[in-house]
Amino acid sequence: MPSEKTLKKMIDAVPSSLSYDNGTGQLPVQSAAWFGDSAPYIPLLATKGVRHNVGGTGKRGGLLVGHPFDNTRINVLELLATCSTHGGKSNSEPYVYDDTLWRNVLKTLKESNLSLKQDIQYYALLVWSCHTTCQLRFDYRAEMDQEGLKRQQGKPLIHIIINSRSSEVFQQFLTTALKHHPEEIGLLFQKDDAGKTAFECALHKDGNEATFGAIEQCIPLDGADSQSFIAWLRMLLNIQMSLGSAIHHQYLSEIAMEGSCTKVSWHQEIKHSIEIP
Amino acid sequence: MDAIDELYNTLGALRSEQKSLDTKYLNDVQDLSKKMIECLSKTTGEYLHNLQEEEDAKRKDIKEDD
Repeated sequence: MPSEKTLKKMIDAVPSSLSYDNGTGQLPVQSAAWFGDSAPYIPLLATKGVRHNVGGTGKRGGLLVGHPFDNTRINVLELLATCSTHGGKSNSEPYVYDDTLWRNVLKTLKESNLSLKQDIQYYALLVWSCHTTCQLRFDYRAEMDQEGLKRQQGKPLIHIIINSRSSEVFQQFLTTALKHHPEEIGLLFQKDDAGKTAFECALHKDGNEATFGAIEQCIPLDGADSQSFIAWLRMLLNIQMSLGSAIHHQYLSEIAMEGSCTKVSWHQEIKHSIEIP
Repeated sequence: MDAIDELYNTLGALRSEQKSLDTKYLNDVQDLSKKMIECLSKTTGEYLHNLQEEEDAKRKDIKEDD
């Protein structure tokens, strides 16, 4: 593999190579996005590409050029959100995912102003990256655009996730959403266009066991700060209300409002409350 | 001296004398240089398209319902 310094000199010597079509209609920066080995060169290819107007005006050195054959016309930024790598020597070996490698490419692109906050909304990058094999990239994008967790291209993201992904992915989303939106209980009660909460939709699609299991895994019971603590408490309250249960609503509300009880007593009280029919 | 050195010296020498070169000959050298740049662009472009280690790298798309 060439060093970046060598590659830089090669490109400077023959800049037209950056626009070379290898017969698939793709640019080199697009080809690089398909493989873990070549992905780290993407920031260099794009930086040089901007200088030489690769892909045309406003295409960020080829990063925003759509795939020539793919139906979705996926561009490099979208591809980087979902792509994985394979470290085996043959097709029979298991896939090896390297989320860190791809996340680092995103970081370098951001530092070079080749990946912008507004891209996340415009290209729905949080939708693309919300998969269990892309968690670091999803978290990185969510950190860049916390409001983007609420809606992507006008649609509530949590509903997109529930409708099209597994309960594991839902759990992944919720963990991140709780971190950035604890006061909104990780957007669990965000409504869709039909007025249904995400929680209701998750119960309907994945069932009680999977949904509650996912929620439970997300809540930081140990070492939780008070904000998370109250958020969790309110969530339990809302869960009970959503289910139409009358179990100690008033009691739970009081605890939620107090916020002064210790974690231990809170945990015990909640457990006790839920067990009472 | 390898071919790159030889070519470098040849072009350098021709470049320094281009004002005194016969026009037709100079045009032929210009055409040859353009073809060479095209070939270099193709060779370098193909190299840039294949920066991955071929035996190791395999594409894996994530399925929508993972």
